[in-house]
Amino acid sequence: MKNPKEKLESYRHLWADESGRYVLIQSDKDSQDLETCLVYDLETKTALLEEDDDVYREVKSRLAQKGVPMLSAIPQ
Amino acid sequence: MPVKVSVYPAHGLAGGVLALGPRLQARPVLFAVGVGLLAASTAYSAYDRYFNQDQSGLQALLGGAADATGISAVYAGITGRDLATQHHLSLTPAQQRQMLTEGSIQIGALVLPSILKAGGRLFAQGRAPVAPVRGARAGGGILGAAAGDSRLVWSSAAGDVVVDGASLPGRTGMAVSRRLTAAEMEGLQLSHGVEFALIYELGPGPGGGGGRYLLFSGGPTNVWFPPNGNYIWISHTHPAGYPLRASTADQNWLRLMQTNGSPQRTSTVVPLDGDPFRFNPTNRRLP
Repeated sequence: MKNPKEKLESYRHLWADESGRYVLIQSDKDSQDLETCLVYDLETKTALLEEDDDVYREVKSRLAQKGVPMLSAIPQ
Repeated sequence: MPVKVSVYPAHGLAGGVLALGPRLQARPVLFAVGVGLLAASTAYSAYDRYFNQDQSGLQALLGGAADATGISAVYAGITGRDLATQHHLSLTPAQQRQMLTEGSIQIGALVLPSILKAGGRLFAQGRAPVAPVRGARAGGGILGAAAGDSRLVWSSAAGDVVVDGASLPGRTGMAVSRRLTAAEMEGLQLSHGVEFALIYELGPGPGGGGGRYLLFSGGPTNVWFPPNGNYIWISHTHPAGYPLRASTADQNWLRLMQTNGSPQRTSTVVPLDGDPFRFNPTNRRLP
């Protein structure tokens, strides 16, 4: 199993992407907290389920730092 | 002193039933029958040695056990002597060959399945670079490497669901003909070393009937799939070495489906190193 640093590196393409393909999506409508967000792929209409909470938190943090939008509902 | 040489047909039967027992559906019954036959053969042989051949209690007991397993026949076939008493049996070369053959068959019936099993395991390990399927819980098994590819093919026990390592469903997903059991989901992760998620797409019928099952695969600790309100998220796998509870992402996912119209309240995690459990957005592991 990869260590957390390697796992985080495997997600680099998410925040390196310049096409706007990846966004954050809020699971709790009453919250703006990153903790309750998921990473969403607009192209495939899929969301990322990562079991390592620490790694996922860091991935979301990097996407937020990059300025990707946080959606409140699944795009139709 | 003339020594009686006895052949007990039940010995081979006991060995065969004992060996077959663990391989068949009626395992406990057959295994018990095998053990019973072996014990009865030992007892009968010991009785014969003690009362009819004037052997001591210890000699009769050891000799009986050796008779039941075929060891004494092999020994007599090689040396021409009784194993327990060391008396010369005055066997002709033809009789010695016969006893050696019969004893070898008896021993073979007892140990051959184990040898074949161990050999098969070694062969499978040589073909399977990822974690092997774990017995019945794994629900299905590895068929072997796909043609021209080193990756694996997983098949359900009935053969109605086959997932080829060379073309995993990924985030596009693949339709499967039925709901996969937790054991089958576990078998998939074990075979391919990546997470799998199973969803049910609600159909137009009453209660969502007439829908279809979709299977998605991801990486060792992740999986991408659509959080659609028209889906029921049946289960997903967890790799070994993670806490036996839902991750934050699991709970967020289920909450997102609920807020987008899914009627689902709980979903199931199938961990590789524990029993399947359910969770919801507020409880990481339901009792």
